[in-house]
Amino acid sequence: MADFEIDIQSFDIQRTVSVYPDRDGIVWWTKAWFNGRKKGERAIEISRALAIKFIHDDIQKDEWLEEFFPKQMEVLHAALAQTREQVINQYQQTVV
Amino acid sequence: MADNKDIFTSTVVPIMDKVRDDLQRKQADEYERHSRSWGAMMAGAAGPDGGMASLDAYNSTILYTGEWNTKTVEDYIDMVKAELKKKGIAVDAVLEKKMIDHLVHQQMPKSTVEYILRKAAEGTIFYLPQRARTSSLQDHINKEAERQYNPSLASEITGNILSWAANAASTGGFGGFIGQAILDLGVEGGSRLAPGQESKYLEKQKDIARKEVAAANKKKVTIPRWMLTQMGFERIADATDKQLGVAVQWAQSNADIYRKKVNTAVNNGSRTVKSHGDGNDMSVTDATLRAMQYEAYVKALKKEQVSRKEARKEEQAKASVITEAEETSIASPKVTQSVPEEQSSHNTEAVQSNTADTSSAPNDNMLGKFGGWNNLLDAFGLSGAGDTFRYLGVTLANLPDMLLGVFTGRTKSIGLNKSTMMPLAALIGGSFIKNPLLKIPMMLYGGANLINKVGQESLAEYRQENGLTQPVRYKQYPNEELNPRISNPHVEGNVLIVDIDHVPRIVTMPPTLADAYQSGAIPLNTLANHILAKTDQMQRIQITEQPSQEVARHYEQNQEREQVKGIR
Repeated sequence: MADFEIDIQSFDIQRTVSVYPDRDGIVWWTKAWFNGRKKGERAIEISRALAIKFIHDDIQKDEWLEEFFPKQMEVLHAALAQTREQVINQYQQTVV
Repeated sequence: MADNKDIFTSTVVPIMDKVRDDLQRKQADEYERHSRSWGAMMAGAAGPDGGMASLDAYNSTILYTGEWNTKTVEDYIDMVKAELKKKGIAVDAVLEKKMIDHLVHQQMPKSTVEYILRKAAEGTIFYLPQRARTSSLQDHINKEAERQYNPSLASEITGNILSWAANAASTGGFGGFIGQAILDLGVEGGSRLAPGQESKYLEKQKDIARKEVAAANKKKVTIPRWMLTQMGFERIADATDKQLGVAVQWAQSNADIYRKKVNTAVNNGSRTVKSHGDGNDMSVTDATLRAMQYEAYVKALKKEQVSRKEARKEEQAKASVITEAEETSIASPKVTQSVPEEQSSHNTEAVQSNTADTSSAPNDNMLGKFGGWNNLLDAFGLSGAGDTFRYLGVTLANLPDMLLGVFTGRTKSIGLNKSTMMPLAALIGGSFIKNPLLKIPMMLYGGANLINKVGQESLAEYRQENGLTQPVRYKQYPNEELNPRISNPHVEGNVLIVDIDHVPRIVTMPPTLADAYQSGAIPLNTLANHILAKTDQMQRIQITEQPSQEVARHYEQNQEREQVKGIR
C-alpha cells in the first residue's frame, strides 16, 4: 500500500489575521479578513502580551480566531460543513 | 461517529474473514493428511470400480472424525466471538445478527446460472454427506439466502432437472426412468426431512429472545431527557396542556409500536428489531427497554394531567363550571399508527438491498467452505461458471479462436492435462453410450466443463485487454487509531473527504485503493492514516524539490511579517 498516487484538493475558506499597535505602540488591536474580502472584520482591542504571543507564533491561528472572532468562525464552520455535505452529495450522484 | 456499522465493517468483517481463512487452511491440511494416509491408499487399491467408491467413503470419514473438518457454522461463530473478545468487543444480539446476515449475503447466489448450478449440485447424491452434517444455523443461513435471492420458478425447476440428470449419470441410469425418479425423490426427501434444522435454530433463538425480553421487563428505566425536549419542554411541569396531550399520544403510540415489534420478532425467532427512527438493528432487550421508557413517560404525563385537572376542579368548584372537552379528548391515548410501521419495513428493504449490492462484487472470491456447494462446483470444474455465462457473448466469440489455440498450444486451459482428462473422457465416453439417461448428462458435464475452462481463459484475456480486473483478494490491514490530526473521514466512491489539520480536503484515491477499501480489506481509520502519511510525503518532496525558492519565500514572508506585525 506504500506506492500509490493521490490527488488532493482543498475546499478550505481563506482567513487572514493580524495584530497591530497604535502609533505609540501602547494600544494593540487584532483584525481578521475572511474569504479574501478586502473589507476586514472589526478590529478588536487586545493586550500587548497577547500581541507578542501572536507574533511569536505561540498561539494557533484558529485558536486565536475562535477567541476573538467567534461569530465569524461559527459561520465559517457552518459554511465548511455545508460545502462538505454538497461535495459528498455531488460524489454520491456521480457514483450512482 | 464510530457507530456499529463502522465497527462491523472495519473490525468484525476482517476478523470473520481471518478466522474463516484459518479454519479453512486447517481443514484443508487435515483433509490432505487424511487422504494421503495409509488407510486412503488401501481403500483406493481395491474394488471393482478401481477403488473410487471406497476411497470416497474413506475420505468422507474425516468429515465426521476430524478435529477441524467437524466444525460447524456455530463453532465458527464461537471462534469469531472468542477472537472479538480478545479485542475487547462484546458480541450482543445486534452484532450477532449482523454476522449471520453477512454470511447470508455471502451465501446468496450472484446470478441465475449460479443459482441453478448450486440447486443442481445440492440435489445430487454427492451432496448427501454434506447435507447430513448441515447444522441448524447453516440450514438457516442457506434457506435465508435462498429466500432473499427469491429465485424464479423456471430456475428452480431447471436446477431440479439438472440434479436429477446428474444423479442419473452417476448411477449409470440404474433402474431406468422410474428408478431414477425414486432415487431423486429419496435425495430430495433426505434434504427436506432429515435435517429439518432451521426450525431448531429458530426455536432456540425464540427461547433466548423470550428470556431476554422477560429479563428486560424486570429492569427499571428512567425517562430520557430527549423525550421531553422532543415535545418542546424541559420539565413536565412546564408543559402546556396541549403539549401534554400531544406527548401522551406520541409516547403511547411509540410504546405500542416497540411492543408490537418485539412480539413479532420473538415469534419469528429473531433477537433484533429495526429501530423506529433510523431503521438500524437493535436488540429485543433494548427495544423492550425503549418501550418501557415510553410507557413510563406516558405514566408520568398522565399523572401530571390528572393532578392539573384536580387542581382546576377545586378552583372551578368555587367559580362556574366550564367543560373541558379538549382535555378529555386528549386523555384517550390509544391510537395505533400504521404508517410508520410500513415506512420502517420499507427502510429495512432498502437497507438490505443496499448491503446486498455492495457485498456482491468483492465477495465473489470469499465464499467460504461453509457454502459446501462451492467445493462441489470446483470438483466439477464449474467454478466461476456464473461469469462465463454472464459474459456468454465474449466467451462464444472467442471460442473458435480458443479451439484453434488448442492445436497451436496457445490455449493453455485445454490440452491433455489433469484437469481436462475427466471432461474429455466424459465427452468421448458419452458419445459411445447408447442409454440417453447416461449419455446426455455426461456430454453436458463434459461440454459445460470445457466451455467454462475456455471461457475463463478467454475472459481473463478479455479483461486484460480491456483493463478490467478480476475480483482481487486484498491483504487485510488491521484497524488503527485515527491520527489526532485527522477528523471526519468519509469515503464516497473513490474519493476520501477528510479534515487534515482542520483543513477540509478531497482526496482522489487510485481505483485499487478504493476497491480495497470497499471490499473491507482496509478499515477507514487505517486508510485515512495512510493518506495522511502520503500527503506529508508529497509535501516533503515538494519542499525538497524547490528548496531555494522556499528559503527565499520564507525570508520574504519574515520581512513582511515584521512590517505588519504578523499576518497569518
